Amino acid sequence: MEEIIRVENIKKTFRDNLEILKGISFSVEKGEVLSIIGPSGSGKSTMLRCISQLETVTDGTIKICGQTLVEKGIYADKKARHEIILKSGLVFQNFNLFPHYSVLKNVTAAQVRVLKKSKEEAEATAMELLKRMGLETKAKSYPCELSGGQQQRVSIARALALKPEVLLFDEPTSALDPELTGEILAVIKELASEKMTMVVVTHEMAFARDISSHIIFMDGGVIVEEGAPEDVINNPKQDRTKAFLARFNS
Amino acid sequence: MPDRYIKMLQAMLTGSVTSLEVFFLTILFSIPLALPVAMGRMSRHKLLSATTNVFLLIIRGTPLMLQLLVVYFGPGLFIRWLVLRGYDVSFKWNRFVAAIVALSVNYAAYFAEIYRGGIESIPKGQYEAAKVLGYTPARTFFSIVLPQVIKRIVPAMGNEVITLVKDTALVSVIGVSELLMVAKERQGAMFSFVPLFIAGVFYFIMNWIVSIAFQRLEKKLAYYN
Repeated sequence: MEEIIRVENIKKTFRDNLEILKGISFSVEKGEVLSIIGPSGSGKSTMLRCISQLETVTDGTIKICGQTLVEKGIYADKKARHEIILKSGLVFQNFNLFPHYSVLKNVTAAQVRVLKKSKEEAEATAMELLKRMGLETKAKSYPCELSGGQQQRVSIARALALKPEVLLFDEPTSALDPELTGEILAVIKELASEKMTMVVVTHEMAFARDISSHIIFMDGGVIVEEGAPEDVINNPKQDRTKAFLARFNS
Repeated sequence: MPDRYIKMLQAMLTGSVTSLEVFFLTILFSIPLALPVAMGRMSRHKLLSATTNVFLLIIRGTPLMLQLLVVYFGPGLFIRWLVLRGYDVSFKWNRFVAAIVALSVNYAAYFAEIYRGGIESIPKGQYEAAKVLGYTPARTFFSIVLPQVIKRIVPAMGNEVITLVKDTALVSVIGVSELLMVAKERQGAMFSFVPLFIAGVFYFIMNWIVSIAFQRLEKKLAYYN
């Protein structure tokens, strides 16, 4: 099995001495879907943001596709960091589409500017992705003309356009109503069936159980419990996990 | 038409051309100059941002008319001071150039604060989205942030530009014969209110055009929210 993400003992302390990650280790192999669940403030999102370089770790090691991003708190050089950033795609809770670009340009811009692809090639890739997302008729629209669910699908297409090895989702449905949530979950499910490697931070327990190969429950900056989806969600062993999932399992 | 009216109109035409030159040259220099000023103000480098802040406070905290006087007469007084101490230096300041320098610096200060407001209003998520897509900070600024900033600052910029049209009249304080100065001369010479009225109409029409231009620009940028 090819290892896509390896995280070893990462720690993150914010300036005000608040330790948000207290030594997290896990790995994700090619084709796996890892879901991370846990209460707000447990460090799930911060962990994801450390992998996608939006935050820096204070200590620990992160390797993406065998390439070292940070080793025991020492970061790789700029060039390596840039290469590594393109290996993962990140989907945000509030989409963060570029409002001044059309849907099509949102999906092509980075291909042209960063990967130096031709406009034609980028547009062909983009149209294919938009079609998969059921948005081929919206290519010329602007993000403000779309529903939240449609915007999130565009942002998934935008991330996929750079052909990342792994897709990271940071609470992709938390800004959506239940109907639109279903829309996005269906897309992620489909990606899972196509063996896309993914790490999903989510509050959708049933969804996490159904699509994941592995689940991590985090609280207070540590991994409290991890294992097969059924075990963690339906038969948690730790009291903290039981309490967190009480409402879901009752 | 009596001869003196033709003469008056000719003089006022020359005056309005000067006013227009002052206006356009100030726009030309202050709009780009304001960008590094805004960057300096927002810099994480403490000394740079503090220095820029002091500069902004002085420019925005003193009358433009005073600044025109300082820029025009200041260098001459400094040279005189040097000459009195035995230095062999000479310097000739052109009033028109001095007027453009003073106005451009003054307007750059106001524009810089507008730019800063615009730049700071762009959500952090835009920078983050660009970063994970592999954009460099410079590319993020020029292709993601700046276009959105322009849309947001257009109304505030329109206000400033309208003020600039009227502020061009201040350059007469250092003897640049712009429209209002010519009108005042003619009013005295002809003992007539007409020159002042014509000058008023000129500023009014000029600002009418400016506001139409800004309205069009706002509409053009209204294709997204």
